[in-house]
Amino acid sequence: MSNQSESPNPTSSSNKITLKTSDNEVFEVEEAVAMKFCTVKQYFDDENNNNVTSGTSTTLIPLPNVESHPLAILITYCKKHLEIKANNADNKKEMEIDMEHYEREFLKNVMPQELTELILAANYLNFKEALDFFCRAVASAIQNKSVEYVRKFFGLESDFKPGEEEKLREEFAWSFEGVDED
Amino acid sequence: MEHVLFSDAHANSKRTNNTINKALSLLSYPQDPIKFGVLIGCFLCWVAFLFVDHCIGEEDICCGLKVMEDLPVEVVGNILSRLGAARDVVIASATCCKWREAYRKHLHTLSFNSTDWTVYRDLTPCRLEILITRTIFQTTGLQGLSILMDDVDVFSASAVIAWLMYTRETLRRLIYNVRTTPNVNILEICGRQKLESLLLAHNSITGVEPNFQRFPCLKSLSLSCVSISALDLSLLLTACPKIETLELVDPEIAMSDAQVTVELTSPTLKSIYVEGISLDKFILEADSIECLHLKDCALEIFELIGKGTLKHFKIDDVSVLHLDIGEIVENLEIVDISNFTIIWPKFYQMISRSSKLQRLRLWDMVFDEEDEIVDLETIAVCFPQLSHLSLSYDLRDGVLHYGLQGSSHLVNVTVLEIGWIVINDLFSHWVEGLLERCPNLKKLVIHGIISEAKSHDECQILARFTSSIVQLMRKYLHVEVQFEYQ
Repeated sequence: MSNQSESPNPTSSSNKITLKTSDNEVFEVEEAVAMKFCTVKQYFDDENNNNVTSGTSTTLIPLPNVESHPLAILITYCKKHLEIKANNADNKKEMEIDMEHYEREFLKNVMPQELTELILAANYLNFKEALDFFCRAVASAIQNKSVEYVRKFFGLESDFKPGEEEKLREEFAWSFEGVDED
Repeated sequence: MEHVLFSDAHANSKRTNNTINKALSLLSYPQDPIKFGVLIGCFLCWVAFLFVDHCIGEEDICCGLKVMEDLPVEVVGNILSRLGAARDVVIASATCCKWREAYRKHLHTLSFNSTDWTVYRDLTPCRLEILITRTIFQTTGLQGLSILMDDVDVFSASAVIAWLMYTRETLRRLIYNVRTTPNVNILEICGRQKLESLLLAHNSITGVEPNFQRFPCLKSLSLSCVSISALDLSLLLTACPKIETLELVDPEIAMSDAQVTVELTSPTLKSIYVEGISLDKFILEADSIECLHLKDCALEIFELIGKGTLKHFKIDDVSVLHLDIGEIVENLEIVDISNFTIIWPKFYQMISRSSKLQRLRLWDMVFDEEDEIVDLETIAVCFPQLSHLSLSYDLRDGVLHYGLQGSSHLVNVTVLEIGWIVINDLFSHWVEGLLERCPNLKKLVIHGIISEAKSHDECQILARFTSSIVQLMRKYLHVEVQFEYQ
């Protein structure tokens, strides 16, 4: 679908895709990056199938469930991910080491609240690698923590029926002892 | 086409504006029939969305902060699975109903590892069996199960069978390391299912019957301290038609006759690692093998029968009288030999046709005969693609003289690692000679062993070596030098 009036640079190379977030920010990303977001890929493929004859190269894809802040982070992560993959095309082990190193550095600049936003965005975009990584990151943050800590961390509230939680705590009594101080 | 992105109930109301903008922008190009069609499409979508919005009601549209409650239960299941450790999973799933549901329906990985939590060590095997059973039985669809209890002597077979029976239909990865009484026949229980990866330790495998016991999907098998007969081991491999990776660590191989022989055949096997095995004869027939690694083994005969697919060949601290890795070894990329008594001419002959060799490591080598010498000339000629060369062996006068003769350069070598076992004055001359032959070197690593009781002589040798390296490296300013002493 042609949408030249909204594309910031309509004459740019054919492998750019424009994404528009819920807060009306426009991101122009390379096709390789956008295609890692399966939801975008699906949309893009559908568009191409419906517009085979149009021959246009720039597409604006609206992302009504993603805000610009997490999207910007996801795009950065995705670019780096592709770069590391390309640099170590023939060495899986080296790739994993580089990726681990990058992810460790990455997490230093991310707040817990951002992580949940990132998970939601990665989940909506169906960006598998990022979703797995953020889930791992979140998981490591709640290791050896109390139920109360986990609730606070995620902003959850107990909605168990009366007695239900007590029953759980009794059944799994072995696991509730000796957690880190909140 | 847009419904893919727009169908989510939590959509921000701004999406409506998006669609309007889109429609308005298209109004400026109505002359194009395709665009006009698109415009109509957009308009119809917009109407549809207004309708959807209306149905959900304004209060359901979340415009503000997105919290964890918005997460689909499958994603919560993913988070719990990343957590893995049973105790953390139980705690996190006691926070609210949705997380509880995620544990019961969407947890795919669960592990009970004694390293996860010290309290496991204080519990009796019986208590552990009960808690593992309860935790597993509340899940559905587990794909990965890990039970690594290092300090538990034994679990009762009935408990282990129950865990496996409960999970086997969905299980893809199983790690289990506790002895059971009586023995559990894992092949019988988990065979003919989806298992892709199995790590088994401290158990025994008996009576393998590949005609009706099979691991049809198994790709990776690791047996550690497992007691198995040579025949069963061979049958087990036949029962895994898709196996790619095999690890055998400290196996107790029961033998039926006086000659201790293991014969393994697999057309799919790509990688094998064998550690701590002592045998008369080990024959491996593997047409797809790429990676062969032997460690701490004592073998009379090791024979690899294949089709020249081997890429990585590594042996570490192995004694073998007769070593045969096949006649066609043209695809070797990495050869790494350490702590090995070598018959160099014979070994060299074996690998000399590997013109694709990229890494060659001959470390802490002992030569069978006094006059055997690894000469750089043949290495340079035979392995033109070599990029990483590591050498460490005793230096004698002959090594310097014969080892460095010739003039061919190792043009692709960028990393050179050299080491001494006992340092002598020849070492710096050797370094000098090697550097001259590697014109494109970027990095030089020198590994040295320094004995605790340093004699005056040794200190002086070391001092002379240091001075000569400082002198020498002035000529090679672009080469990064690194010293590793122990």
